[in-house]
This record gives sequence, C-alpha cells and structure tokens, in this order.
Amino acid sequence: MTHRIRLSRRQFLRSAALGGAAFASGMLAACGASPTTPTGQAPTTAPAPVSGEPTKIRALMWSNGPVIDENFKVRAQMFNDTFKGQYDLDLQLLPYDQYWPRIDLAYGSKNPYDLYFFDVQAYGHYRAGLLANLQPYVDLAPELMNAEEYPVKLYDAWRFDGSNLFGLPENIQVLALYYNRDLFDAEGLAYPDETWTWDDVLDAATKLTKRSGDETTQWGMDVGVMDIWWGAQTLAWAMGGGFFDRIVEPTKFQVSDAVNVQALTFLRDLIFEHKVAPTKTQRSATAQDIGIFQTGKVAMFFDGSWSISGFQDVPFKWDMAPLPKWKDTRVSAYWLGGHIIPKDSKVIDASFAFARWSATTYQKTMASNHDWIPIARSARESEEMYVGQPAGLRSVLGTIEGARLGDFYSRNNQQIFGEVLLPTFDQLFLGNMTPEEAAKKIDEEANALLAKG
Amino acid sequence: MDTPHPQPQIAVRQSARRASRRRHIEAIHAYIFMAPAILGLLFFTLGPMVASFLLSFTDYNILTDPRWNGLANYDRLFNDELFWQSLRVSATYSIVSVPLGLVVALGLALLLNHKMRGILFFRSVYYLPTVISGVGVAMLWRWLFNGDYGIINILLRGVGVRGPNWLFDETWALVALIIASLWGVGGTMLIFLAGLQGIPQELYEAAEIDGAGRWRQFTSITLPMISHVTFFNLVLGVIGALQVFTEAYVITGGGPNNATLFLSVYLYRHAFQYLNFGYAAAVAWVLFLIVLALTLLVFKSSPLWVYYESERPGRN
Repeated sequence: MTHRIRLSRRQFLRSAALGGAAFASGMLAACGASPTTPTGQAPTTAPAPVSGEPTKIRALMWSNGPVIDENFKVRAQMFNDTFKGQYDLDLQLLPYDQYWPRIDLAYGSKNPYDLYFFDVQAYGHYRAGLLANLQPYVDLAPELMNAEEYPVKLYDAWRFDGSNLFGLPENIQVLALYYNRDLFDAEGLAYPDETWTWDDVLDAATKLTKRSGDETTQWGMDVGVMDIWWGAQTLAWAMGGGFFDRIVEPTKFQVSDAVNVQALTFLRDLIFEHKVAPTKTQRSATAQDIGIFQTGKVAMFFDGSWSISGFQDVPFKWDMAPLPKWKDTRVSAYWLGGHIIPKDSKVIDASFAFARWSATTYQKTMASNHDWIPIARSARESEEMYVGQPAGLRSVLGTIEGARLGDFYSRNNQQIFGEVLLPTFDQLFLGNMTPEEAAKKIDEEANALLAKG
Repeated sequence: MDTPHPQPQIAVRQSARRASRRRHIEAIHAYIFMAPAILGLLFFTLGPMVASFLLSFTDYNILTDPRWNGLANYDRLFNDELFWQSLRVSATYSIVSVPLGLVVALGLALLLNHKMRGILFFRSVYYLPTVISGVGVAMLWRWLFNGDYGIINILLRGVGVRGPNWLFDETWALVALIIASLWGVGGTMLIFLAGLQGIPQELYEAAEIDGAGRWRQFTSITLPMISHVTFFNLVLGVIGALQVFTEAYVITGGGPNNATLFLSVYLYRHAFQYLNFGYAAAVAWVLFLIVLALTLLVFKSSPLWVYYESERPGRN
C-alpha cells in the first residue's frame, strides 16, 4: 500500500513565505516551530498573521460526560486562539454509539472528517486504505519521537503496516485498582499498594464483605472491567498466558490454554465461590445509575484510569493502586488515545498541526485538567498532574512501561467482540458456563471468524 | 343556407371545453397536492428499497465502493446460525406477543367501554404509555425486571414465588420482553374501543330479548362486529412485532447469549457495528419478504373470519 502526503498549495506557499530558510520543514511550518529542530518543544505561539481565511478543520470526538466534553471544547478554543487566523478547528462531540456510524457515513459520502479520535474501529478504516500515513509528518517533528519524553515503544501498536504510524497518540490509559479508604479504615485494614498480590486482594475482600442474613450489605470488591475479555487477559498475562497470538491481525485465539482457563476460573470464583464480589445482576441493582463504586458499598473496584474524574465527587475517601500481582508478576493493559486523519482530508497538514499541538503544547493543560493521562512524560510526571489527585496515581502510572495493549486489530474485530467475546464472557460471569466451556467456545467461534477475515 | 340550431351546438361545445379545462385544472391541482407524498415515496421509500435490493447482492462496507458478489450474501445467510437464531426469536416473539397484545387490548377496551364517572380519565391513563419515548420506557423495564431488586420480583416474593433473573436468563429474557410489549397496547385498545362504540346497541337489546347471555352476546355480536378492527390490529401487530428493535436493543442488547437477538437487532449489528451493509441488506430483504408473506396470509384469510356490514348480501 502506498500513502501520499497531501499538502495544499496555499499552505505550502504560506509556509514558504513565513518560514523562509526553514523551507525544508515547510509542511509543518504551520505549527509555528521549526519541525526539523528536535527540541521536544511544541509551538506555543502562532506564526505571523497571514491573509485569507483560516483553514477549517472538521474534527469529531465522542462525548465523555460534561466535564471532559467541556475540556475538549476549551481545548479547541485554545488551539484556535493560539493559531488565530491560521486554523479554525470545528470540533463536534457525539455519543459513542453515534460516533462511528457518523464517521463511516462521512467516508461513505466521500466527505470524511479531517480528524477524529482513535478507537479500535479505526483499524477497519486503515484496512480499507482510508487513513493518512502520518509517518512523514512525524519524521519532520522529531520531538514526538523523543524516547525520553514519549513511550514510543508503545506506539508500535499503531504501526499497522509494521513501520509507519497511522495515528498520533496524545494520551494513555492503564487499568487500576480503586479502593474505598473509609471502608478499609472501618475494618482496620492496610490499603492496597503496588506490593499487593491477588491473594492479598481476596483476603481483604473476604474481610470487607458484610452480610445481613441472605443479603450482602457491603461487597469486598467488584470485578469491574475484569469480567471483560481485555480485563481478564491482564491476569492471564501475569500468569504467563494470553488470549491470542498477536495484536495486529491475530491468527489464533488460544483461550483454552490451561493458564488462560486458570485466570478465568480465578476471576469467576471471586463471585461464585468466594462470594466477595457481586454478580452482574447484583451489580446493576446496587449500582443504580451512578456506578457501583460510587455507591460506597464496594471496597475495591477494577477500572481504567479514565474513571478518575468520574470519582471526584463521591462522598467518601478513595484512592487507587496498580493492578495486583500474580505471585511476582504484574502486567497491566494500556490503551493509546489520539488522533487519526483520513488520507482524503484536504487539510492533512492543518489536522496534523492540531494532533501535534495536542501531543505537545496541550499536554500540561491535560495534566492539570485531571481528565485523561498525558502521553508526554514531562506532563505526566509534573506537579500539576498530581494536585488534588489520589496518592496512588503515581504508582498506577508507573505500570505503563510494562503494560501491553488491551486490544487486537483485525478487520472483523467488532464482529468477534459482539458475537463471541461479549456474549461468552457474559455467560461465564453469569455462572451459566464453566471457564473451560467458555474458553472452548471462544476459540472455536473466534478462530472461525478470524479465518473468514 | 339553412343551418338548423347553430347556437346550441356552439354552446354545447363551449360548455364541453370549459368542463374539459376545469377537469384539466383539477387534475393539475390534484397532482400538485399528491406530489409531496409521491415524491416522498419515490425518494425516501422506493429509492432506498431499490438501493438496498441491489446492495444485497454486493459486498459493501460503506467505506469503499460496493463489489458485486451475486447471491453470496443470501447463501451465507442461510448457513448463518445467528440468522436462524434471530429468526426463531422474532417468530417466537410474534407468535406470543401479537395474540396476547390483542387479547389484553380487547379486554381493556371492553372494560373502558362502560359508561361511568371518570371513564375518560381511565382511557387517558391506559393510552398514556404509548406516547412515552421507547428508549425511556425500555430503561424503565430494565429496572422493573432486575432479578434482585426489581419490583416484579419483589411482588413475586410477596406471594412466595422466587422470580427468575429475567434479563440475564436465556429462558426468561424473551418472556420479559413479551411482557414489556404489553406496555404499548394502549394504541390497539383505542382502536378496539372505537370499534366497540360503533356496534349498534339494538343488536344487544334484540339478543337479550332472545335470551342470549353475556358470553353469547360477546361471541355472536361483539367479536363479529369488530372483526374488521381485529383484522386491522392483527396486520399492524404482525408487522410491528417483526420489526421490534428499541426494546431488545436497550433492555437486553440481544443477549443473554443471543436469546433476544431479534432480526432487526441482528440487521443493525451487521450494518452499523460490523459494517457488513451488503449482508445487512440481504437480512432486511428476507425480513421484508417474511412480513409481506404473513400480511398477505392475513389478508387472504380475512374472508373466513372478517365480517363487513357493507358486504352483507342484499346490501349495496
């Protein structure tokens, strides 16, 4: 597959006029900094005003609730203010279930958005040859590949063809163990920390589970995202397993391997054997509309770092810790968040300018917003990042380096999620299937779908 | 030369021309008034139907141009276990929910056909649920059917019955959706009520004089006299039941383990989640043919059980 860079003539001339001797970096001159200078510094000011209308960028992001949505709107305004007269980012926010259909329909009507946020569905866009290869742009912005500043090894997941980047990361998420400090204090138990193993979690959960007759009035834990395949896989990884052979275009699901079945059994037993975690129905009943952890009736809860802002207003003290270890090993899952650009966008250079600005200049603001986790180390480890945040956040973010991607990329991954993984994990954690049966079903059906491609 | 009666001939011709012009103008007006509906039908119904029919013979993911693949989608469909599962779910739901809905709606209409104080209030109350948004209602039912704390199981516990885990149990999830479907019987009830109020009172008076009891009056007068209304409700019920989507999508999402995977949910998944638009179009056409066949069946059977006063022998 070949990928061509689209550079509008107007942008080229404008950049040439502004950049002068920096012509070689003309494609990125619109960012206002010399792209050939590996300073690690992103542009902070706009270049001199230019004549004509600003370049309009149609961008789309999914809605994440009022706080994060507002941050996104402010971010767009900051970008437009910084590059006043040069760029005009028009950001739309849509509920997640409308987000992908809108992008797909825009492609279908040959009028794609100029920029949108990545999730696993976008791999289908890559497979259809619709995404711009961002590698030439990144090559001209070496600060983005500074390994001291960015976890560039983790970017390999977005090198879909094995060498070129098709998206530019700007945030990163990992899994964490959240806990209710008040409930631990009431029981006189030590808080979870980075030394905890799953045995420690089970031991504490047993002590923290309170019953009154047949009714459980307080749960020691809720398995949270560990009853989703990507959550459960972190335990399988720690045990030495893994549900499939590779992330990009896996060829084989291997959930039936003994170690994977052991991981599923352990998680399922927390609910049905040890009874320290609610079933799905008990969870949905207890959670009401606010989330089970927010009710204060659960001592420990597994979720992604993206939930931090959602817990800000809970009426109890809480904190977080890294995922527990299995014996001596811990493997968390990570996800990259960032921008992708359709190759048929007429303003690829302008779109990349926003993606680059988000991954550089904006990172400190992201850190102080406390919504998502910045990809840049300097922002992630800055003081702003931890002001008013749970004490355990630093150790949770410390697990990023050893984490593995919590996704897989294949053309029909949505069908494998929807028809195999989701219903089978549901049945497993509803107690309607043994781990062995679930693993066998997943392997048979997912491998059949992989074979169809 | 003598020309007999020239004046009337000219007058007749002029009059005919005027009438013709009037008819012509009326026809133009008629077409103008019909145009929005006809254009709407052409562009928003027939056009998409033709397009979806053609797409059903293609491999189309909306991202790239469709590729002709002949009957491959239909071939795949008949070998697709989940398609048959969704067909089973839709059929079971229709077979149970349509008659049940008709019986409940007719029962309510009979109750609300009495003359009593406050009857308008009760009619409004029973009709009200049909005007509430489908998604909001679906969310409500999720709470009602909660296995541990839902009000349905609490009521069942009150009478010593341990209720099932409705929405997470393969056996009971579809039953829950059938029960939830009764929420919308208000519309059907209203049509039955209109039918009941159209039955001449003298028929009941004559039957009473002849010694007919309530049940006999119901089976020999009420049911035949509203059979055309029942026919109408049945046709709409069958079509609606085979197209049910919102409740299944919101309440159960097609689960657990595809136990509530309706055809329309399956179609939606393939179109908008898996981007198999060609395959989804094939599913849509099979669904359309099933609805068409069942509707024709109901129409064909109607002379056997539907009574129209206007078709009574000896009446014009």
